[in-house]
Amino acid sequence: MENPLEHFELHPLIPLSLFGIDISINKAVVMMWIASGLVLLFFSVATKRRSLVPRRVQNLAEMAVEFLRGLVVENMGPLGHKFFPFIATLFFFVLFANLLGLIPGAYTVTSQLMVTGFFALVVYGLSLVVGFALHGLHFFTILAPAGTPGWLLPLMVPIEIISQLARPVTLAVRLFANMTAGHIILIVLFSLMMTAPVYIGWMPFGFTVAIYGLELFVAFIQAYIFTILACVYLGDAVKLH
Amino acid sequence: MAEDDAFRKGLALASRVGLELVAATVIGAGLGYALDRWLGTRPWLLVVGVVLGAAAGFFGIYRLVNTPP
Repeated sequence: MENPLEHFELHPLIPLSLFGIDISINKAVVMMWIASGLVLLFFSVATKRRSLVPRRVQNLAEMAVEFLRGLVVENMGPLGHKFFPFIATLFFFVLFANLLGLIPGAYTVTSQLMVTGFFALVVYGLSLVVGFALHGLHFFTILAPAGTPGWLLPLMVPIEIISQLARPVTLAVRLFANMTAGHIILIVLFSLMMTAPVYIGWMPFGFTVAIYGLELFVAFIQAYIFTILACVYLGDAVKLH
Repeated sequence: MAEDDAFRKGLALASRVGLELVAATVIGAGLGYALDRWLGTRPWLLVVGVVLGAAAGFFGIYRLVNTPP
């Protein structure tokens, strides 16, 4: 059986380098282009013939956008409208990247820790920038939860620093691990079917189909969780307790 | 719709809890280890880091489940 992790390796398709930095085009880059292209296509189709009573694609897009708007306002209050374009872009890109990876032969961009890690860093960095911009140095009180007695501070501040540092890590690892684990299971089950004789091969194949269905669900859920956590982290920075 | 909402929130919660605990502990341990390497106080800061990280993980979960939905 071939190595189930081989699928996740990236090899440059078009080797490029800029000032000594490797910017080769590999399949992950191509899939990201396709994902963003599909998001664009989806919304240009959805907004092509706008009608007051939405139909099909427009209805779907409106539902998703309304849902995201609710999410943003719920977590960040009225200021959330300013972050809505960012959050919506994040959600749709992650969702389309997740779903695109489920097409046989395609590559899951979100199964690269580099990609999810960078997303998480951008989200967390933005929350820091927003926090310092809104509250100035007062933002440091995020390290001391409200109602902490003074003598507990030497203990609480290191704990809070660790839990703050854990935020981008968990955000990145959750999406990456979920997508990678799901695809490894699919690969293993499918190669099991390919090597098994027909009278037993239907079993792993059945499992492959079932797991594929689960992965479709996971693609939506993980995109949702990534977005809601981005909202929560930004909301914490906006509200500060 | 309300039921659907609760289900989604529950899923998000379930997906957060486990990783939060592990990640905080690992980061605490990593910080302790790095500080040890830097200050040459092996192994004491690693111990402190693991304990603080675990505390941060548990505290994070406590806060997570304590916030009203």
